[in-house]
Amino acid sequence: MRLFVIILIMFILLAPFLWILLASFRPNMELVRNQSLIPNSLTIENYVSLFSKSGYWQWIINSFIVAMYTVLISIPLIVAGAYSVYRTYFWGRNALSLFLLSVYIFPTALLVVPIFRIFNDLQLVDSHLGCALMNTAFAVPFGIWLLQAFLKSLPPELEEAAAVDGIGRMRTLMQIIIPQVAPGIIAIAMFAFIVSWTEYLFAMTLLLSNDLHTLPIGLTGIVFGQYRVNWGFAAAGAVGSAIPVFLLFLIVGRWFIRGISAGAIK
Amino acid sequence: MTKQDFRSRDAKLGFLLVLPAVILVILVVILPIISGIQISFTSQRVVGSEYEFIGLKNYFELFEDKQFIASLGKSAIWVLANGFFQTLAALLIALLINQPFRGQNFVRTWIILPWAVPAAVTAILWRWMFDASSGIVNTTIKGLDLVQKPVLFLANPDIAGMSLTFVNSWRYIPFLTIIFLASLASVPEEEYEAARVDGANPWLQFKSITFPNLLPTLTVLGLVGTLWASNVFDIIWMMTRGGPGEATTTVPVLMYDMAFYGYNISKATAGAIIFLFVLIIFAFVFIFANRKQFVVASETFQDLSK
Repeated sequence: MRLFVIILIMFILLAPFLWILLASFRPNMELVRNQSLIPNSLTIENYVSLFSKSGYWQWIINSFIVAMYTVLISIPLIVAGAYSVYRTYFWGRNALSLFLLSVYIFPTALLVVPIFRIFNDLQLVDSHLGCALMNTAFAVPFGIWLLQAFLKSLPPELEEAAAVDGIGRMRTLMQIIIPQVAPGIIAIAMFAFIVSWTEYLFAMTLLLSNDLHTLPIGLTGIVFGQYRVNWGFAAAGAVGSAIPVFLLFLIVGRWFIRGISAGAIK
Repeated sequence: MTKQDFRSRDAKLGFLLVLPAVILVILVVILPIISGIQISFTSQRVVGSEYEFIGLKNYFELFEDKQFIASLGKSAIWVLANGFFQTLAALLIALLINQPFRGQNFVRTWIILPWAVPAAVTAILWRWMFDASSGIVNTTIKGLDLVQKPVLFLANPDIAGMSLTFVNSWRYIPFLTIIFLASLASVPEEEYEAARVDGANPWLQFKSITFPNLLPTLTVLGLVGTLWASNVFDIIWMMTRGGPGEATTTVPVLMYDMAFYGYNISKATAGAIIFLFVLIIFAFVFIFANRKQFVVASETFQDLSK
C-alpha cells in the first residue's frame, strides 16, 4: 500500500517528462490533432528546428554563464555567512540571520522596477553579471540556512582543539571546517545553479538584447510569442532545457540531499 | 590567549564573515525597496520619464481600485492553497519515503526534478497536457468516460486557479520534501532506539521525537514557503497571464502587468508596497508566535566563546 502511494506520487511527478520526451519526436500536426499514447510516426524535425533554426545554443551558453556567475559568487557568501551564523558567537547574530531570510518577503515583481533603475545607473542592465547578482541575492539566504544541519553536526572540539594549538579562527575555517563540509558545498552549489537555471523574471526584465537571452526567455519568446503554439517545437525545447539539469543530477544528484542533511544519509 | 580575547576576536570574525551576504542583500533588495517607495509617491509612468511628486495619490487610488482589491483576495487564497498545502503535503511525502524501501535512493535523487527544471519548461509541459482539444489529461479522462465535454483547465475561470495551484505544487513540493528528508535524516538514531527500548509505539515516537526535531525546519519552511508562494509570478504569467479574465490575477501579476503593459510604474509600485506591508505584518506575527524556533544559537558555541 505504501509502495503504491509512492509509485503514484513519483508517476505524477515524473511521467510528464517522459511524455514530453516522447512528444518531442512526433510531428507537430500529430500533436495538435490528438495526443494518443502510441505515436503514428516519429521525426527529428522538432530538434532540427531547435538546434539549427533557433537560438538554442546561444541561450544555453547564456544560461550557463549566468548560472556560473551565480554559483561562484554564492558559494563564498553562503559558506562564510553560514559559518558566521551557526558557528561563531556575536551579538545580533539571530537578528542578522532573520534579516537575511527576510529577502523572501520582498515581491520580486515589485523589485524589478527600482532594480532596473539602479542597475541602469550601474550599467548592470543588459548584463549577465547583473542578472547573476539578483539570483545570488535570492540564493544566499536560503543557502545559508541549508548548510546549518551540516555545520551544527560538526563537533565544537574542532575549533577548541585548533584554538588550544594556537591556530587562528580564520585558518580553522579554511583548513579544517571547509574540507569537512565539502558535501554541503556541493549541495549549495547545486541549489544556486538551479535557482539561476530556472529563473525567469529578472532575466526577462534585465536582459534586453536578444543575444543575451537565457534559455527560459528565448524559448518562451518563441513558444508563447506566436498565436498558435508549435507544440512539437515546444516539447523539443523543454527537453533541451531539462537535459542539462538531468545530467547534473545524474552525476551529483545523490550529493544534494546528503549535503543538506547532517551527513547521515549514505 | 585568554578566553576574553578569544570571544571578542570570534565576534569580530563572525560579523565580518556574514557581512558580504548582508551587503549584497542591502544593495539589491533594501535599496531598491527604498527607491520603490520613492517612486510610489510620484506620477512616473515609464522608467526614465518625467514625473512629479503626488504624495499618497497612488495609494488612495488603489484602495478604491476594485481590480487591486480583488487581486489581494486572489493572493490570499493562492497563499493559503499553496503555502499551507505544499508544506503539509511535502511533510507527509517525506515521512512516507523516509522508511527504507526498494528504490529509495532513486526516489530521493529524482523526486527533485520538477523543481530543478526552468519554470518555462513547467509552463510548456502543463499548458500542453491541460490543452482542451488534444491534451493528454483531457484525452484520458474522456477515454475513461469521466467527463462528456473537455475540461478547460486553464480557460475556465472557476478551475484555472486550482489548475495553477496544482502545477505550482507539482513544482515546489519535491523541493520541500527533500528538505524535510534531510531534516529527518539529521534526527539522532539513538533517540529512536531509546524510545523503542521503552516500548514507545510509532505514533508516540513521531510525537515525541520526530516532530520536535522537525519543528525548526517546519517553522522556517512555513515562513519562507509562504513568502515564496505569495510572490509566485513566473508560472502564473506564462500559463494564464492572470486570466481567464482576471481569475488568476494575484498581486504580483497585476503589478507586473500594470508596470510594464499598463505603463504606470508608480501606481504598480505603490500596490506592491501595500502587498509588502501585508507580508511584513504576517512575517512579524509568524516569527513572534514561533520565536523559539528562530533562535539559531547552539549552546555549545556560546560556552566555547565565554
